[in-house]
Parts: sequence; structure tokens; C-alpha cells
Amino acid sequence: MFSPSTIKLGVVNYKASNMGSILSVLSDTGIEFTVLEDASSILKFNGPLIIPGVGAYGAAMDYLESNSISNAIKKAVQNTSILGICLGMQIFADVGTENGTRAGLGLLKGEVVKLEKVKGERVPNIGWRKVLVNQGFDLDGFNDCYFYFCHSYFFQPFEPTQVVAYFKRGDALVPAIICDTSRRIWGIQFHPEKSGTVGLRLISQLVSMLQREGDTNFG
Amino acid sequence: MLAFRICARLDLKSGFLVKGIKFEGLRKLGNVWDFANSYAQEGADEIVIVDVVATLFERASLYDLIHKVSTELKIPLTVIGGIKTIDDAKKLFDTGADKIGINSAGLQRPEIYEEIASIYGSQAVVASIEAKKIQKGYECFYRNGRERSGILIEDWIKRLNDSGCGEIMISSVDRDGTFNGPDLELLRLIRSNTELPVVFGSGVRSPEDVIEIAMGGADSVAIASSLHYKKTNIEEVKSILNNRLIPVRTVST
Repeated sequence: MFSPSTIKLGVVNYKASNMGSILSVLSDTGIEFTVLEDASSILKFNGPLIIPGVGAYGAAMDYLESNSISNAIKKAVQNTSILGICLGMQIFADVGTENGTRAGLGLLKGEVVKLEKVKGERVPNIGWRKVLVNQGFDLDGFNDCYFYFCHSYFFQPFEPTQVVAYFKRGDALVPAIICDTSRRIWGIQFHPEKSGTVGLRLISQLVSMLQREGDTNFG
Repeated sequence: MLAFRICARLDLKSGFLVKGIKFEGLRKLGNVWDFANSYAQEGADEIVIVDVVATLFERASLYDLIHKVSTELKIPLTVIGGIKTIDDAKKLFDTGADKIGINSAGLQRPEIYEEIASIYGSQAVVASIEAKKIQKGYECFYRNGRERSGILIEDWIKRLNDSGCGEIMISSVDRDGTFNGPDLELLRLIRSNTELPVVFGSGVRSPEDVIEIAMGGADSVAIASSLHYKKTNIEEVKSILNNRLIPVRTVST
């Protein structure tokens, strides 16, 4: 029987993230991981990837491009599954608009745009919100749970990116979890690593899904 | 819907939790970590740590605390105090702070907010404000309510709206630690001058005061003395807010 925990996870450190928080969550959930600091270690690594991230889109893309990490991630994704968290997810987009328009990694069809001014809602969106989960993604256990958000920009998907979960903001529905049609590329807008026990449970479940996908396709 | 956020505010000095009245006469209350941990277990939505002295010598104990809170409690953490440069902010983010708050350095050089926001995003940059009532209205103070800036609160808020900061956290020098109730007139003044998220505190003595703050348009409350001296607790605050149909986070497992 396949055991997900035997597949090691690679966590990409691109100096735009609170690595401590995400690593402590992985440790707590018993997930084995390696921190990947540069392009060559990403290319050599054989397993699912996590891209954490806190910060501004432009500054993050600067770093990723100048260190060839963006190309390494794009190449690695042809052979593995990947999860981006907050900014780590936003850089998967085709294009971002924070501090000027610029291309992202193009892993998920969509663009990163600023939250609109809506009556009764603030920009940035800081705080805890109930997340509503669509059926069919094996994440029903997280429907209606509170998660911590901290962002001014969000991922606006183009087809065929799938909205796995969302939250309501005014009359709009904002994506909270997204994935591609192969379900190998996942992104989370909120911070599961800052969302208490339920966040740990979500990371743990998503990681085993990543490991399973990696195994089915390439194991 | 965004839950009304209950922040537990912890003032730190020489590695200990301290609390004063009107920012003066700091009393040592115990081990900061023990308080932070118990507030997180009670359901705090965020921990706010204020390094009230912020001397270089004592910064090491702050870093230890930030690391422990961020890795063990797994709820958001804001750190305020002594941040003057991008490098100061970087150290705090690297150690585990999710947001950093700036008062003194911002009053002296407001560009600091944009400089940090351009790297870390405005959602990570908080403008911290110490307001004190004066004849003409309210004035911004700094260095824990000791120094006057000569800047009126409404002028400062208008400046902050386009400064790069993503949240405003206000303390009232007059109400701090007094249990005299929050300064709702100050909250009205703030709210009518900004659309940014507002964290309001000082003077809270009961869950009813928190309801007033929520109804007054704040997005969040920061509570210190009332929690430290057990006038109320976070569970009680949340349950009373919930009864009044103010959305609060329920903790899922």
C-alpha cells in the first residue's frame, strides 16, 4: 500500500516568506521536508513542492527571476505537484498588477488584481473569514471553517482554473483555494499556517493529496 | 463575512509582561509567553507584542519570544516598537512576525511605511498611534505617550491613508490601563477619516465596551489590562459579541 508520508516535500525558500511558520506546521504534522534555497536544488529535487510567501508580488518576482528560481519551478512542475500559499500562490498567475503589471509563472490561468473597494469591506482584507468549500475536491470537512487572511490582492482565475473554495466579500465571491484541472497545482489565498488547528489539518490533507498526485503520475 | 477580531496585546520589557496606566508606572506581571499561550487557547484571533523599551540590548529576548509565539501558537502576530529601518522590520519578519507596527519613526519620516510595504506588502505594515486629548482635539504622541508630535490625529490619519500602511492601531494615552471605558469620540474621529482596517484599544473594562468598539466601526479590538487582570476573558467577550450578532471567529479543530 502506498504511504504518502514516505514522499519528501520540498519547501522553496525565496526570502519572501515566513519560513519558520510553515516549517513548524510541517514538523507538527509529521511531514518530512527539505528546504530548497536555489534553482539547482529545486531542479535536483524529486517530490512535491510548497511555495510559501508573504510580501509584495513585484519584489518576489524580482528575486525569483534574478536567481533563476522561476524557471526552475516551471521546469519542476512538469514532473511534480505544487502548492502555493498566499503570495506563493499569487505568483502562479499569468500576470500580477501589484506595483505595475508584470508576468508571473503562468502555472495557473488567471491574474492577480487588487481587491475592489466595496461598501462594508476593507482593503487590505485582514482577519478571519469563513471559507465555503465546493464539493468534489475531498475538502468538505473544511466548509464553513474560519481561516486567516491578510492580503490586498487576489487571484482572479480564468478558465480552466478551478475554484475549490471561496469567501463572500460584498456581493463578490473571492477564491480562497484554487487548483488546475489535473489537480497537481494548488493555491491557497489565506494562511493555513496561521489559522490554528484547522489550518494544520488542511495543510496535512493537502500535502497527502500532493504526494498522491505525485505518486499516481510519476511514481 | 469578516469576523470582528479580538487581539490580545502584550507589552514587553526585559523579557517580562508589563502594563502601566496611561503608559506610565509599568508593573511587571509575569512571563509573556505564559500569557500569550493562555490567550491563544482562549481563542485570541491575534497576538500583538509591544516592545515598550526597544533597546538594542534587550532585543534578543524579543526575537526569542516572536519565534516561540509564531511557531507554537499558529495565529497571527503583530510586533510593535523600536522599528526605524527596513532592516529592523526584516529581522522581525524573518523571526516570525506577520505584521509590524510603527509609530515614532513614521511620525519622523512617513516614507518608512511605503518603503517596507514595497517589499512586504501593505497588509504587513501597521501604523501604530498614541492619541491624547488636547484642547484642539487629539494629538499624536510617541515614545509611549511621553513626547508630543504637534500633529493632530485627523491630519495624521489623512496622511496615513496613502502612506503604504495597511492597518491603523490606536491607543489612547488618557484611557490606557484605566478601565474607564474606550474613548468612543476618538474612534469616531478615526473612523470618519479612514477606510483602512482599524484596531482600537485602551480603557476596555468589559465585553460591553468591546461591543461599543465594534458598533463604532472598528474592525478589531486590542485588549491588555482587562485580560491580564482577568476583568474578562476572550471566550466571554466572543460569546457576548456573538449574542449581539457581531460575527466572531469560532475555533474549529
